[in-house]
Amino acid sequence: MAQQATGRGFTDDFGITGPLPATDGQRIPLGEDDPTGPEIGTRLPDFTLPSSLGRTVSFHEDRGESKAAVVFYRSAVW
Amino acid sequence: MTQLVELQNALPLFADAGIKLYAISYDDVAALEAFAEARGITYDLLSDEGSATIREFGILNHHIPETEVPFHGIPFPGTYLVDEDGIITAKAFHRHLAQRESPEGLIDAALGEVLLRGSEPSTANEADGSGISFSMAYRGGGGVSRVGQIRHLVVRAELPDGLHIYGEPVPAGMQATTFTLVGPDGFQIEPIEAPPTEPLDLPGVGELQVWSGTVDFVIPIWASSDAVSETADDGTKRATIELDVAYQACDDEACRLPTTTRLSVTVPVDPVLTSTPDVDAERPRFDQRKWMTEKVVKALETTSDADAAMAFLATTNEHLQANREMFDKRVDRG
Repeated sequence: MAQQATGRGFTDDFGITGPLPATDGQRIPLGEDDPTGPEIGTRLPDFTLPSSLGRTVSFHEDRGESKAAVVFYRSAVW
Repeated sequence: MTQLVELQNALPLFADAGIKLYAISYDDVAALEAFAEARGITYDLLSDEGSATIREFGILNHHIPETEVPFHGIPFPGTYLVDEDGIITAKAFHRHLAQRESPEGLIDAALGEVLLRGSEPSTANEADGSGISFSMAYRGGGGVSRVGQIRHLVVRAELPDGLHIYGEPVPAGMQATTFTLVGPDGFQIEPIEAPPTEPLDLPGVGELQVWSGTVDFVIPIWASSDAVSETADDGTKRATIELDVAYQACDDEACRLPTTTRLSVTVPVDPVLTSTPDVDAERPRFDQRKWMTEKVVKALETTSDADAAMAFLATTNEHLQANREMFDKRVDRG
């Protein structure tokens, strides 16, 4: 994937300009073969993790009988 | 980060739809608490420090080797929606790491329908000579454009009884319904989500695919840059999105000529999410550089190849220096 330096950042093939890649490699998009985890129609794997709200969340127990959205993101810091 | 704040802004919509919201990253709890306090995040930011859950889900970003600290450990970003039984009903993973689904897009996916609330930026054209009219709404992000965040253009066709328009494929000389983004530069559209067509057997032509009545076409759209086309007197930035709809209307006996109508909708552009309502100006500042340093030190203690990790840090130091200004700007903003 070609990347072009544009002053302070890089513009990639998608036209998105961001900071210089922190790695010497490139900002690699999700490829066709890259995994997206558990499939539609299966039960979401359970997890128990500490929360910013000062509690510990066991996912399925915590959501009860509610629908839920689980967002995986890069980082709240960078 | 923009995504997290957009989700916070849309929290009432999730509550209305009966959807609980959780977000997971590899950050430590202290970093998440600082971010939540700074940006007024009231839903659960869960800490998967060490990335065990990310690995268990099988979505660790494997393009980043273990020696690339502190970046190793992040997931491919994406969202799962589950129903009342915990079964996954939809997933949103996008090709570019900067692309994110809008909160409204997630809710639509969870509910299985697009519910326009009437508050979206929208436009409608005059009915054409056949009585067909089109309207277009900009759904997502509360109607604001931000780089990488996916919104949806909802194009509604309203056809009088007896008339239909065509889906692909059509015989030569006929016009299937197509959508072309005219502008502005910097916006890109993804493949359209159209409702199912109905078959229509036309004597001498064969079976064609048609839509009739009221039809909603949903077109994912996102900005790859700060696509601003106008700046208002008060400095507010806006973009006017123009979309051409080419179609041909027919009844059971005759066809009108193919025609094209242009729809445009003007939306505010917020390059970076700069403000969060109800956040105390005296909020504590999070020291990003200190966090980065600690993360690197911690990773160096556990990595299988400290020399490679050190070499990586040396070669990337230059880039990080160059990025400092941009990082600082982001820290200042949030």
